[in-house]
Amino acid sequence: MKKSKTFIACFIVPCLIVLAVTYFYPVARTLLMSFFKTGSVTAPISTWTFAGLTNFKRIAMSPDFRQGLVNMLKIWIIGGIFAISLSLLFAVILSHKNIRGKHFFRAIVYLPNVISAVAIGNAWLYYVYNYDFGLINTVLGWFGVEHIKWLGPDLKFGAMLAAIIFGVVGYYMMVFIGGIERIPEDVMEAATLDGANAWQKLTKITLPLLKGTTKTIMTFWTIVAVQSFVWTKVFSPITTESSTIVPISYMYEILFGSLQSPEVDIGTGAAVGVLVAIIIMIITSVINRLFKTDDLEL
Amino acid sequence: MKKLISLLLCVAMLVCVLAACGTAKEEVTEVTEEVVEETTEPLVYDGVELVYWSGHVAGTPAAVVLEELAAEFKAETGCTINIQFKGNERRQIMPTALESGEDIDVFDSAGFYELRTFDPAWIMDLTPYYEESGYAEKTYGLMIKDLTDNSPEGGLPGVVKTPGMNGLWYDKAAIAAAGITEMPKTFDEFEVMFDAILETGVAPLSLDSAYLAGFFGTVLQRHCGQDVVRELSLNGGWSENEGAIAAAQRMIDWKAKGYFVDGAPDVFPASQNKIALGLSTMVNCGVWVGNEIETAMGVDIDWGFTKFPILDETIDANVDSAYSSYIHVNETCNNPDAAWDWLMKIVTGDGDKRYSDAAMTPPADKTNEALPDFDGTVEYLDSVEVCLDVNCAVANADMKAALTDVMTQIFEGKYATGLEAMQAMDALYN
Repeated sequence: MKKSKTFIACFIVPCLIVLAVTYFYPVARTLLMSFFKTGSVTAPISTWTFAGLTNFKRIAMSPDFRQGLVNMLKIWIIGGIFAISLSLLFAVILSHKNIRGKHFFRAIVYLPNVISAVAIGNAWLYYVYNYDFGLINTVLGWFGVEHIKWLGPDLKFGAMLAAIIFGVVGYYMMVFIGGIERIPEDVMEAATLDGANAWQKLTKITLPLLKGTTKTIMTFWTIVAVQSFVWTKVFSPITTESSTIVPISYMYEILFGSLQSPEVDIGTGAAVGVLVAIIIMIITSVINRLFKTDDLEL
Repeated sequence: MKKLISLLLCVAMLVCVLAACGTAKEEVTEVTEEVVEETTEPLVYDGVELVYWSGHVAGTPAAVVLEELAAEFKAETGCTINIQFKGNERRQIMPTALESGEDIDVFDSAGFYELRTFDPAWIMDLTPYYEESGYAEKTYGLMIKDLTDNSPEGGLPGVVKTPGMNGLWYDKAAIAAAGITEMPKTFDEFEVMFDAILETGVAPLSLDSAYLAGFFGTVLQRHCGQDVVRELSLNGGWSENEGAIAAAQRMIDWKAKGYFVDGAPDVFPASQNKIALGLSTMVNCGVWVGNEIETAMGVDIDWGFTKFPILDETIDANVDSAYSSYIHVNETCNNPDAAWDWLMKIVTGDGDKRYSDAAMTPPADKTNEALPDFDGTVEYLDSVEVCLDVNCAVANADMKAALTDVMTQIFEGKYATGLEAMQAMDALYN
């Protein structure tokens, strides 16, 4: 078949134009804006005032941003361990041949994923964690235990993290199940014939062969951890709190102002976006190095 | 069969996408036919259309009244008001829309703190209309002063739309049950009242975390003055200020005495809703709180309002909470006269009475009578000389959450003394 460069260009150019306008231009503009002071997001570049690293210095000095960064890393590390472990556990159990009703249980575990984060967050807030009438305190009351303030400043972060994990486990479980079901059966049969027990099969065969899947899920989880703005707003409506603030919610307040601090600082908001993007790139490259999949052979 | 199901799913998705992409645009097309038929001469604003960006959500009682007023305005003047209800998103999307030159003739703002951030090119100075109509006599002097003081370029950049105040909203029945016949004024008098309320087995105060910074900010303002509090928020020095230490100590004492309902500070709106359950008697909040509680809990409460307690007459004696949202006319408005008449339709006379009753706020036109739940609020708003910034304690945009966290710990009983609490505040600045 004769190649036609013109034909190829006709197909690629529209896509490139859309990509440039909707992706490259905003990214480049945001990067540039992070070094300037400007009155609004859409102000012409000619009206910007060069500020050098002032915006980045402001972020570095901001206790709220630093706390947001700490919260985000805690969500990624602690939440990641629990989310991925739980979803892997459910996947291993519910991909076993002899489990009755496994399709039903898969659907139940996956169900929170089809409900919006706002609905899940509010359900946890008002029905599970409520100090007077919540599920947990009601059950604790049956055993004579005093009501616990799950949404107090000390426990609120953990409460929010539990709700986030509840919302994502189902989806990651399904991805793991897909990975497990792709493992050839003859490999498992050979291991069984060689006398391997369930634990050995899990640790020596299943987990190594799930490296690629685990890498994918860690990437998804990184995005969830960075973009936990919705959860922050559900658990801390109206005002931001140290226990739930993340860099994106700090950026939101800086970009749009708030009742408490109406002044906006677009350049600093852009700088937060740039920093968060750099953090994601670093984390992703660490994940890629840790989970190299080219050393496996079947 | 599978192809049919796939096709049906695609159609369903397409319908959902089209529905979701629809705007909340509300176009008023109703015209009172009787009036149109009888009128033989063209109306004064025939053919004029004004686009109005409202901060209300379509379908709410206030939004319905605005639509009715727009229909009446069209029948009276021929001017079509194209109301676009943007809800809470208005604040985020409006600056970009105005800057891009979108066709917006009239728009809301949340108050003077938002007004300060506006570009002068967006707002028309309405001073000539004020002078010609005598509108200033009908509304609250403080709010007109706030308009001028916070205007990007001076003048009068809008009109008063939805006045309000923060203060103590109380269940009249619960207060009466405690034998209280007159509301106190000073902190000491309030403590006597709180003790009487506790005797009835009810907690005096509700407190939600969402309003905690404003509540403590007001206590600080009473003890130090709001300019001092703002300065402390920006630069620290809390533990060196006797007033700040005393304010924190008072709250620690209030917590220890059981003045706050069990569980306070709670996640919004759990604590304020306890008033409806008879567990608490009052809450410090804005004008919306009574309607919010009644709607959430399905009860009807006879509300009263009283000013936040004062320390004495020497610190910020003339400062109290009073604010308003405004309506503005765009500098590029195609018919400013029609826009001004539309504004007057909403904020004066019968239109204001109907609108403020629906919005559950005191009237913008002080010659109107307020709803029974807002008894005394018109006189209160007219008496306030300087507006209290309830958020003065968290004026520092870079440590708002951190400061709020320490304040929360005060009400959680973490600190033994006010000095300890203020030292924790100062530690944030290191």
